Amino acid sequence: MDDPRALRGRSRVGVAVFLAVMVAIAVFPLIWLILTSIKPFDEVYTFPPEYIPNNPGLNNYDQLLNSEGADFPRMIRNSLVITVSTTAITLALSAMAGYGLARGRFRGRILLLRGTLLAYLFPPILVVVPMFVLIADLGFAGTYRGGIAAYVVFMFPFATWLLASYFATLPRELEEAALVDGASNFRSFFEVALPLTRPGLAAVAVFTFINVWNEFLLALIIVGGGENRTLSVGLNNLLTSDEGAKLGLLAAGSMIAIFPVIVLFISAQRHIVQGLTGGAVKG
Amino acid sequence: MARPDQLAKIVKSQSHMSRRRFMGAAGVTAGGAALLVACGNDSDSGSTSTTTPNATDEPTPTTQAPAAGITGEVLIWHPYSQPERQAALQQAYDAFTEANPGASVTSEVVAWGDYAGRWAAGKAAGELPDIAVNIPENILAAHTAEAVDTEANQAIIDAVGGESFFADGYFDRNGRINGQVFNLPHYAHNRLNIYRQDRLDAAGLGVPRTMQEVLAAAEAMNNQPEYSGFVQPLAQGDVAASYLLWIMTRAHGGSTITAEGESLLNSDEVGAAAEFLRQLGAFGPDSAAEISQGQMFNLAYSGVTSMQKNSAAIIGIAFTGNEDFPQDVGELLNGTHMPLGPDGGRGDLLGQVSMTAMKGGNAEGAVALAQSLYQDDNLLAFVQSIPLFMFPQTNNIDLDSFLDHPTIALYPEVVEQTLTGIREGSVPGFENGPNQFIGPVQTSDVIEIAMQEIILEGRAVSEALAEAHEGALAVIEEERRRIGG
Amino acid sequence: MPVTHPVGATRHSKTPKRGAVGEPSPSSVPLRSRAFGFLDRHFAVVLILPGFLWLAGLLLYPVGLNAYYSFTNKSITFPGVDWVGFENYREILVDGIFWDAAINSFWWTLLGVGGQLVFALFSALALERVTRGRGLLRLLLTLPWMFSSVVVASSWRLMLDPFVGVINGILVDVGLINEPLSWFGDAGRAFPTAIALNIWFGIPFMLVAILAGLQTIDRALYEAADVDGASYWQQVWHITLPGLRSVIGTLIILRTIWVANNFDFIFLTTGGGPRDSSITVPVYAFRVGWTRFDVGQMAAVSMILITILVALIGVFLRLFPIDREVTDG
Repeated sequence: MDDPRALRGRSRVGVAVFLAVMVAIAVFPLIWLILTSIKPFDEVYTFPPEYIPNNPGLNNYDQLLNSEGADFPRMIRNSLVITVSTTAITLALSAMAGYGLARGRFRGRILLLRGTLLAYLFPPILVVVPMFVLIADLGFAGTYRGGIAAYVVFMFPFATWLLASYFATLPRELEEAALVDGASNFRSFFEVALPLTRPGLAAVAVFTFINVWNEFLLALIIVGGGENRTLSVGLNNLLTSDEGAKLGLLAAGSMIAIFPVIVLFISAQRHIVQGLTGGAVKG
Repeated sequence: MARPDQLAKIVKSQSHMSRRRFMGAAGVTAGGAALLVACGNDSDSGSTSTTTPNATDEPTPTTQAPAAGITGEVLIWHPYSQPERQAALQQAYDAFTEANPGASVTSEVVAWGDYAGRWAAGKAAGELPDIAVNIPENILAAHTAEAVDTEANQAIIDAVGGESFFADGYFDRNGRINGQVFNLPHYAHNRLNIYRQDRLDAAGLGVPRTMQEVLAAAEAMNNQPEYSGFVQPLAQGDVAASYLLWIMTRAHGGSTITAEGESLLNSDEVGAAAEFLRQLGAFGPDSAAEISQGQMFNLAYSGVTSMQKNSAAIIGIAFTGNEDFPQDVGELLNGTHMPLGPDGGRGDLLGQVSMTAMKGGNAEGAVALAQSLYQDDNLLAFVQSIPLFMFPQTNNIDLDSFLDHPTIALYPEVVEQTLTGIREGSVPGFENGPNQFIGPVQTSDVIEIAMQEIILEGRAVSEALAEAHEGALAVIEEERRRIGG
Repeated sequence: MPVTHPVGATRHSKTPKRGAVGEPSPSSVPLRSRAFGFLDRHFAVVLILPGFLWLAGLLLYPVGLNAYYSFTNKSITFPGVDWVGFENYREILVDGIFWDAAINSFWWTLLGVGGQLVFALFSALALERVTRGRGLLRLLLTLPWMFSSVVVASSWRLMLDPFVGVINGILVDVGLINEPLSWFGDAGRAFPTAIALNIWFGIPFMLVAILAGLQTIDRALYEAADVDGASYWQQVWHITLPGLRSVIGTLIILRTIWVANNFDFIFLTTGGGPRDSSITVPVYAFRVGWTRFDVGQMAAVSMILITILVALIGVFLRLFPIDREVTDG
């Protein structure tokens, strides 16, 4: 297909230069992280900087992951447990609530939808400390349970909103057919509606995973700096460490934190972007 | 927080949903359900740093423990992130668990500056440690908020044989307030002027001792942007600038904040100290406001500073085989006392590192573990794990045998100035015994901000200090209100 | 919560095989299945309850606690809670740093959202005109989105280090500066630098949304404009931008809320310094609540912000009723 607005002449150069600069700015920090993470101490601490490492090695990664008393493996595990659990609970609760909101006809439904939107837009910083006080009173501060409980609060509203929209677009006839056949409302939810919503569920799962994995403030306050601390908090400790914040280690730690997100993003990219934006918009 | 999800909503507002499948992501959902089960096994299960005698993952077998021994988990917070010091601590933990097969030790690194936040959150959550290691000013704040177990501290003193086990007069100077012991010494060091011997030699200068000599040395060894004469870490969020001001104020015979809660930040002595630091700041980097004490090791070993205030650890670390701090760079460093005041006065900021029992719920365990940490061999192994740095504060370690270490023997002046400082100096604000007002003032950043303004913005010393004085008074008033009831 | 009368459920149950609402249950039906029948008729409520109870307990309740704490001297470190009336509010409103933070927050939000929007819009327009490799370019432009706030902070602090930072290296190499600059340590530079990071991070999200919005614009409009001889920029002005109106409006409001309340970037890069030059209201709130542990005063800051937030969302819903789809569905 020929785009009637295809580029010609000078504007072609302009577009190319602009995009090249934008791409360079977008990509360079990741490249620099990678390069720094494989440099030895003396090559990191030199000016003007060594652009290409002379003695590349994995020492920084080794120190973070394998040295005596290394706590990165534990932090990775903590992040994984909290992230995956939150994702699973969010999926379950939001699929149920989304269906209930889309199909139910009860008083207060609009109010709940508005409330969901408000909750979704609600910034954690405004409530994190009383939330900590409450979770601490329940005895869950500094634990996985406390962290998961807090994360679900901030993940559930968007997920519910998205899935409610999804369910609302399903043709009612399918479920009604199931009901005529004698299925309960619950069965028609589980066996008819839910399978049709898999793309929405997957999107919710990916977004929840990435958001929780990357999150910092709740991790800092609710889960805290103790033995259950997540990668974000551990990385911040490295950043502000009292005894020598080594930039090479910081770079390696950052790479460890960002790696799963990049993999997930690239492998699900087409689905996320096309499904949730392009696909949806075209449809 | 990143909110990629917002996107979906925007799009949803405009059109209908497509039902494309997200194959890659579906797996995440399945995995989620599986791990949901695992999440029930929460925090209390096997931490990597837990030491149990039988190395099992099972919970502490309290029921099978011998009746006489200590049982349960003992949680210790310490700020020692280096592997050398952790290995030495492990020796004490092992001895403890061997003697108490029913007990285990969980050891957690809590950075110096993180302690204040951690104990506060831990107190609210009912998760205080049994033992914590930090500096007395920080521990005093925890004690003020009733998070310290002073009875257990007294029990530790009794268990090791009374106060005579510790350095003479320790508790009156640093460890006791209103008759209660809020901390016990682990080791001590002194803040020194650490300088690059090679650059000093190249400039043809002797060891800089007076303020004039230090200024001259800073000027001679200043070659910006490659390296600076003297780097002062002025960042907000740590207390390095407050420390420098206190040291120079003491050299002028003054004080900053008194134990009675009086601010002397507008005094002549503090003014003269700040004026000296302003002059010294001319040979420091423009980026001083983003440099924290934690970066000083890296700055020294990347060569960008010729002089700095630090402990002798910065030299000793080079002799531990740490790859990042090579011995050949460390050997270029040497140290002496901080600049002397006009009348030869010294400002020795005692680097007192202390431990304390906190209300973590296992006081017996805390006492027994502290005993193991103080045991002769365990303590000696610890204080020698980074040589030239950690001077014993207990009488069970013979000073001569401690000093009889090949690295320590190389630096007689460092040893002399450190010992003098430990004897003559004090924790900042503790000139006349423990002081609960200086900690909050120092962490409030009022001094950091004043010093940044003076050194980096050229604000008049008297103006900046007058403002810091007002700020300090507000902090002190707030502190009084809290502790006064 | 006013959750009653699952009307939708009863509509579905009008099938002859299932007991109609109000029909007395035959006593021969076992209790379990009667209970199930009841739950099934109220299935919508049953389905939404767990999630919304979670929300009520852990969000609504703490917000209520906040309102209460804001009138007390509640502290995490000191025991006891005393009623202090409006003292917390008064103290905040007379604190000069709070007003500095408010002014900074204004610029932080305006420049952050504006910068993200402008760069994203131009990137999207440029990307539209690329015929080959568009997918790869879009992926590369999206990279900053994958950075968590801590990784944003650590990578940029690495690159902007005053001694060994590569940005200084590049700027010296190309001759823009003579010697390394202090980015986060200079009171005039730290805040703009942090704003730039925020823009860098926020472009991808806006870009992807705008690209999606561009797909919805009817091609025929452009073809007609071509026939009329309209220039490219005329087309952008008269067709593209009006077509993106609702996307951009929604983006601006969502982003304003999020950027204004962003805590991480400033906290992790400058910490509000040097000399409080880059402090914003969320960082101020954190300092009060989690550095001084003055929960009461932090609650007061939060209540002020929550009031503003609710007002903003009210305006937002009026301008762009994005809940219409589901509520009308």
